[in-house]
Amino acid sequence: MTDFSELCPLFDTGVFNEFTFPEVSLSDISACANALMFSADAQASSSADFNFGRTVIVTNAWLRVRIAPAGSCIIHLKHHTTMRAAGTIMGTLSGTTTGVGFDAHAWVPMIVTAATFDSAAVLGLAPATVSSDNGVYDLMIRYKEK
Amino acid sequence: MSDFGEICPLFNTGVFNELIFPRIKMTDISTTANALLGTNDCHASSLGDFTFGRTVVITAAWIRKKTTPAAAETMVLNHHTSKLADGTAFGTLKITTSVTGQTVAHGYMAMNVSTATFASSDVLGITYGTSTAANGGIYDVIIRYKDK
Repeated sequence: MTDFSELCPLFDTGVFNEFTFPEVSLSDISACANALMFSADAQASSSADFNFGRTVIVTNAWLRVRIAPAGSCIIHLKHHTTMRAAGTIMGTLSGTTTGVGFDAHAWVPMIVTAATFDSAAVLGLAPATVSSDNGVYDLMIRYKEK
Repeated sequence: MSDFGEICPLFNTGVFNELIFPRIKMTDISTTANALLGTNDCHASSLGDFTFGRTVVITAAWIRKKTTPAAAETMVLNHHTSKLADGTAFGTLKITTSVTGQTVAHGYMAMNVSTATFASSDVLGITYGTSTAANGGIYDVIIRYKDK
């Protein structure tokens, strides 16, 4: 047994964790890029390669606005099978330009469909529409060992 | 049993966790300092005192550039047996001043890490291979560890 993920199926459960990616800028990020790893321009040459390294299930996500977008901004949480593969949307949140219900203090839950990430799969975050002023966010995810 | 860490030894395995240290400023950090606990000048008097409080094994680490340093540097991850003890390097990553391959503010880049075991009072350290004065850059660092 190399890690705890192999034991979990015996109990049909997992160990939960939360993790925060701070200060993720969505400006100038195209819909097919990944703001956690690279902007669209640097995608091919990027050295970024963060993945979970074992099988986990991402069950929830929250966003907190650090800098509000200039306009409304739909944000997608994605599952990528590899670093540069196209992502599959697993979570969404509509950011607004107003502070009503979406201010700089609130951890706002995304609407998430739980997704399983194997060792090489990559978490992605991108806006639905590219803009030079899409805001800056803290992203928190909840995941459990499979 | 107060937490899962107590059951891990029964199976000789561990539960993985990720932890991020955001916005680590590397300006005025000497090669013997620890940017998680203080600059070289205030190292001895620093109130910084983060330890894991139990035995863990660090297996991987990533760095994201928030701002670019004035000169290319090698980021070093150190294992200290106590807060003021000399560190033993167990992870490195060459930081470039260009953005090619190292996207500022977006890319989490893997360090070259040799797995290191941290006892309850051991201290994680981050420094540069060469001492810096002005503009050493700012970084987010993710580490992955498991309970031993």
